[in-house]
Amino acid sequence: MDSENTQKLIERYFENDLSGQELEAFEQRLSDDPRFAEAFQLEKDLLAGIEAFGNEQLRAQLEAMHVEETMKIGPTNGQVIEEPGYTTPFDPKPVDGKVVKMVGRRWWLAAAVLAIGLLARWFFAENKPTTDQLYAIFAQHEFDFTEMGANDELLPRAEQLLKNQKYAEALPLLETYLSTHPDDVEVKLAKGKSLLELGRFKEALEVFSAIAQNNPVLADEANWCQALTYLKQGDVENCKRSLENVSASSVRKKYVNKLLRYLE
Amino acid sequence: MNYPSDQELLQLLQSGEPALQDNAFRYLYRQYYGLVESIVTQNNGSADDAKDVFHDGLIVLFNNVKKEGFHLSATLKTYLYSICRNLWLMKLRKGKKETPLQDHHEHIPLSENIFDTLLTNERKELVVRLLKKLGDDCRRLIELFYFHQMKMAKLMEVFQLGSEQAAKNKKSNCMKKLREMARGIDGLNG
Repeated sequence: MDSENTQKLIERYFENDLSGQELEAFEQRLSDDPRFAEAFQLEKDLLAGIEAFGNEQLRAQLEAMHVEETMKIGPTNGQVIEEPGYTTPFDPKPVDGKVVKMVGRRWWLAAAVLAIGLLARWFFAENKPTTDQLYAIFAQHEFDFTEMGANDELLPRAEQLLKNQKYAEALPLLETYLSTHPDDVEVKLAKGKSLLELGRFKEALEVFSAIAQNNPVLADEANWCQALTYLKQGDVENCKRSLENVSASSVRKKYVNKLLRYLE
Repeated sequence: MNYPSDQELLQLLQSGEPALQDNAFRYLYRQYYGLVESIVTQNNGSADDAKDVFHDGLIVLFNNVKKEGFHLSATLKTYLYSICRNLWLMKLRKGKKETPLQDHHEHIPLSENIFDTLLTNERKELVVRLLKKLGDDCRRLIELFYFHQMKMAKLMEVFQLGSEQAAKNKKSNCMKKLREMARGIDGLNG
């Protein structure tokens, strides 16, 4: 058996793809053939090392998440509070019927801001985050249609689906709603975000750029979403360009600056 | 609002897609960080210890739910709590500070080998260093395929390849490169 086939066999072993009989022969060969055993051991070491590498990346992602999450006011029940410079006092809020204390009081904010700086530096030094990781950190979609379309049953259903990340199911509802309310920009934005999450990048970009051009109120949000769409595709240059279109007064600006730093 | 069920969370973690996995982690963070923080901080640990234990716990959870045939024998909350509780006990034992734990939630017995993923050794560290030297594309592909368990069809899309076979070939070539690098140094020569 040539070495390529040997390698394939070993790969299949680790993918749990060998039949009972094959497995028996495999184990026999491990004890009979030292070169085979050596190749097997190497593959085992590589896979353990890849897992260790993945763990390292995941730990960095969780560190970032920790900072992001603890910057917010306690447990948020799935809702993201976008602006860390809030003035609401910190109160433990019930989750799951119990009172849960999250880290920190207001002083923690200062620490969190510091931590982001340190984290960024550490990221640069050790592992430059991938665009996937950055997307995971920065793409926190918010959907809240409560003040809109009160007479409409479609929106609450769509909102529910969106909050559960069921974008494929939400999209047709949003489109139906838009067919009778073509000027509802918030819903258009949600449609764009759904397309983005579904990987329909070209259509998402069309939606966002139309909003950015025609709606001054939501232009910043549309530019931000456009940047996320490029980020998700790993297109750093266009992502940066879209971020630069977000105005300095936007509530997103802090995130824009942070993301730009990561992308440098 | 509706909360995702345990089954839905498992599906996200097993989806092979980093963005969906991240959503699951964020949800677990929001729901259960406080619980883990309380068991650590009320049993001789600091907030920093709590964070480390929680992160290690999520890493153990993730690597375990990805395994073929994984079966959740309790609620995800109990499972994650039990993992983190064990991790904190191990840490206390190591520092010879073990006392009976004041519990905040029910827990289940766990098999010890699920914690192996956290062990470090020279071989693992060597491979991590090699991966960092491997080209960006290959490193990312290997991480997506083996660690996140991204499907070939999705890899094909992400790397803009013409077919699944092309994605498979690219993966094989990247692994070949890594093997060659490993064979070139003493530490992994068998």
